Amino acid sequence: MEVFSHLYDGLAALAGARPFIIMVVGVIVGILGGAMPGISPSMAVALLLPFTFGMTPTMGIVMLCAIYLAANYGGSITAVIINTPGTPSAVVTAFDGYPLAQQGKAGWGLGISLIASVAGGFIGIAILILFAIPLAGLALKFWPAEYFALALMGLTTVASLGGGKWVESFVAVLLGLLLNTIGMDHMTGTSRFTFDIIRLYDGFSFVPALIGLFAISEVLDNVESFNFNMAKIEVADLKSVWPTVKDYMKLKWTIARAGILGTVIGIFPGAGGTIASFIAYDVEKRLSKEPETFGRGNPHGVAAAESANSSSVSGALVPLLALGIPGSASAAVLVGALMIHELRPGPELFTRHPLLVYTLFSSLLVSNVILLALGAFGSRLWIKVSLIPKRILYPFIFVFSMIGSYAVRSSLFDIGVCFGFGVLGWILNRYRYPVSPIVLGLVLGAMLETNLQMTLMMGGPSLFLTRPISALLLLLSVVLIAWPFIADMKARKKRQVQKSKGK
Amino acid sequence: MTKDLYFFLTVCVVLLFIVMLASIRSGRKERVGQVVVAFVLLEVAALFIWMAYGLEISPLMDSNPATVPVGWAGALAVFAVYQLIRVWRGETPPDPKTGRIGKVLLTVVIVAACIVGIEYAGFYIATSGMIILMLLLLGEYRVKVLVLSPLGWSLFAWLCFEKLLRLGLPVGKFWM
Amino acid sequence: MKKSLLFVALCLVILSAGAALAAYPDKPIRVVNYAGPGGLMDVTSRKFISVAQKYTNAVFVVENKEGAGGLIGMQAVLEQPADGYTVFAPTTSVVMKVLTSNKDIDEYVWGFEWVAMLMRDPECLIGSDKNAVHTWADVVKDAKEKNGAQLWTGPAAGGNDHLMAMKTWEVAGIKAKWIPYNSGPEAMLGVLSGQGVVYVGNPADIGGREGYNIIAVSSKERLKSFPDAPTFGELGLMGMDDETMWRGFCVKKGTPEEAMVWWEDLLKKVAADPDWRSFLEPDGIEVVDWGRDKFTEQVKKDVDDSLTYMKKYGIIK
Repeated sequence: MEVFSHLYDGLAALAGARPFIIMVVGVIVGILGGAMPGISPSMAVALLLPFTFGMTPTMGIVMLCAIYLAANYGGSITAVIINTPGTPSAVVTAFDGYPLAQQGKAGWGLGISLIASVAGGFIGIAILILFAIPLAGLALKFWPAEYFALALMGLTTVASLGGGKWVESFVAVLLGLLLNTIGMDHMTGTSRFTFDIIRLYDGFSFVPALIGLFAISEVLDNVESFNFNMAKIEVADLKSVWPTVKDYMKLKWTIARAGILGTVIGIFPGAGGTIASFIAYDVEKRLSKEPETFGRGNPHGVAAAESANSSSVSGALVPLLALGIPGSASAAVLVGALMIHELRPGPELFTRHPLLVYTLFSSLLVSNVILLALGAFGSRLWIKVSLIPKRILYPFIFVFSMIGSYAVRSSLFDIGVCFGFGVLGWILNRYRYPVSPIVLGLVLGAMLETNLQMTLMMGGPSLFLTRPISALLLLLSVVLIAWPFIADMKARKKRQVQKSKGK
Repeated sequence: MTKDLYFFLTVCVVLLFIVMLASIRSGRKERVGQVVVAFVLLEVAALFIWMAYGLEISPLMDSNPATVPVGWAGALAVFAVYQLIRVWRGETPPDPKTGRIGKVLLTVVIVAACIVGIEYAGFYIATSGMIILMLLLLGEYRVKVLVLSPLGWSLFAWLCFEKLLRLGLPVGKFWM
Repeated sequence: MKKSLLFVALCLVILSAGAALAAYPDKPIRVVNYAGPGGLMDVTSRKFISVAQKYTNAVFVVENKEGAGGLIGMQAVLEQPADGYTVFAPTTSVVMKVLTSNKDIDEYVWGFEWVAMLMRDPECLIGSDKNAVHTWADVVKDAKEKNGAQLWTGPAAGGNDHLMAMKTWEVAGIKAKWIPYNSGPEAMLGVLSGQGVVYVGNPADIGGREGYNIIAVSSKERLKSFPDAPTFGELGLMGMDDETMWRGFCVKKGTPEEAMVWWEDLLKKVAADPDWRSFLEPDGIEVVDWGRDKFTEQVKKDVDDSLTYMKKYGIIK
């Protein structure tokens, strides 16, 4: 139980006006940076990196972690209000968050994502504090075969993403996977399908494509179908209703499951909040008694997504602190911050600077509480955005998308990519192809291919089955993909039996 | 773009027309859109497969950069064909009614013009222009809104990106 | 009347001469990194700048333009005027990238003036003492047993670490396979967890991480900070004591002489700074203060060397 006494020391180190202000600033910057599409959490962390040089290393890391934590929540704000995930990890939040907003229940979308983020955050932090070292051992067991199997498991979620339209969903995910091969092949260094455009050497920039597929296609769709003169009537009807404590309690198991799942997935470098939220969402959908409501505004969908992506933040810190290896892009910036202060991430930190580590842990807890307070306050402001008449909102969504796409790597090309994907998304949506599987394909494509090739190099295809964790995950994937078909067959058999009985 | 590529794309376009005509002629006019989309996806898959075979295999590493893309493209082709069959057989709902496609196309044109405009007139002017044009397109005619929106936007963009984030926004060749 | 005109003219001349003499730098200098924030060269640039502030009032702004292994950052700098206010922060791997991507060397390499080389970081082979195979003798024996299936890890295919591996195999007379991971740390994890046997990198990679040991280091003599690490020469691998990775700054060709001299001067001051040295030397890095002459020579050597080996191993044609 010395953990608790260490934590107490860490908390004591945070007492005072200065640390408090630092955390508040970090949380605010994180929320705003996360909400703004195009500013990724790692970018937000990087932005304030220079400001930390004047601080002690501990305070610098505290601020950066506050930003990192808050940014993962911030992305959900724009995901819910305007279907534009502010961070890639908020993609899945948009699946049910935006429909909630469309039904006039933006308060539910915002409220649930905040509570789930904070609760999931606490779960992740707790697991980090108590199990960091043993969990790091798990990271060592994950070879490319396991990563491939994990990615494959992620891919099986396509079956549930598309609802009943499985042919269209498969087409969409394959399109995403195919588009993801554009760029340099990691294994051989060969440039594929780039037409010698330097901006394509690393493939399509993910964030602009995401903004295009979600926000732009949605706007184009509305431009096509809406009669804008009717917009005023909608506005008066809008209710800013917030969920009650009872409503939140209904989500507790979802949040708990997603929180644990998110933390575990976040541990593996390369698997981040995005993959965690896809898988957590899928798990909740399969466990739900009303799976068909997912994607139409089911609060459990929002809760699962946000809880998972927030807890993955702590997950990514596990390999950082225990092995010196960053578990995500934002964690990589933290490595840089530590190095500038001449600290080395890794087990050395625990032995040589335990106060730093435990102050960090305590600060995560405190920042999470600050996030709850500021987020609740901010939500009342954010919800006003959904009251803006669409004909004024849409041009602004366009310019925000433009600046966001540009901001990722100061590239006009990326703005083109954004709107190109927007048009693509609009056309596909029109003809009943779901857009979210495309995102899934873009997210998982590289992970699948690289790890497949690496495993084949390491020992050939048999390696997938001889390694126990990989075999287990692959088996799970098969079960997950087959489940809907088997369930369907069982239901059919039941109906047949009932039919014949009825005769 | 090599000559071969041009040829391939021309063949694709011709085939698309043939398929379109065939579906209209055979009484499937109400699903033409879906036929076109499914067929284009099939062509995209074929294009990738064709391009993949042009990839050089590096003697350096064991793996072939073409394997996985061909895998995805092949699977895409299979499903695209299956979808095509479903649409042809009428197993899918008919095409959606066309809404205000004109407005959508105009939107695309405005955005494209803005992107080009950024290079010549700079970010602030080009995006402000886009805001005004889009507001008009969507039916917002109040002068107050038309004037304040681009101004507010430019101010926000300048404060947030130029001053705070120190991210340079593109400056046009001719002005700003 | 004539006298006052003459007076005004004289003033103007003096004023404009004064303006022309406004010393470089009189506005912020943008340092363009091709690594993301927190990446190796990014940290190095930021540290350099913070130490440099002791010796100059110049304002520096660090930018990150990641992508295409450095090509995007290079392009960004080449598109700016050659006035010394946009500086690129390259490492050896960027030059390699130009070669492997078949980009025009005259444009991307010699379109720059290589003004300041900060350090020479020796390449080394790293293993894990958690593995049975963690000394050079073990590695050779294991390679022979596995008959070409031994695995070496690193962050990319065709990069300078991969090239280093291939050179080592050739000199040592062994065969092995190269497995590229997504990043250096992940490749190191690959060795720690037993997927691979050797990771090719630099001594600094070990800092703070437990469970690793240096199998061989490319240096004429053992490094003071890593006294247990044998040199290639000691292990019988000759001709491999000068494999280094450098980091530095370069500006677009045509930059005024004044600016370039200023950078060379600044580098000399920073290189002598104890703060800077204590940041780098514990990792076995050799701090240098090479200006244009020596840096350009180094780059030329790297280009020629790499081209030869890349053609030999079939990385490029």
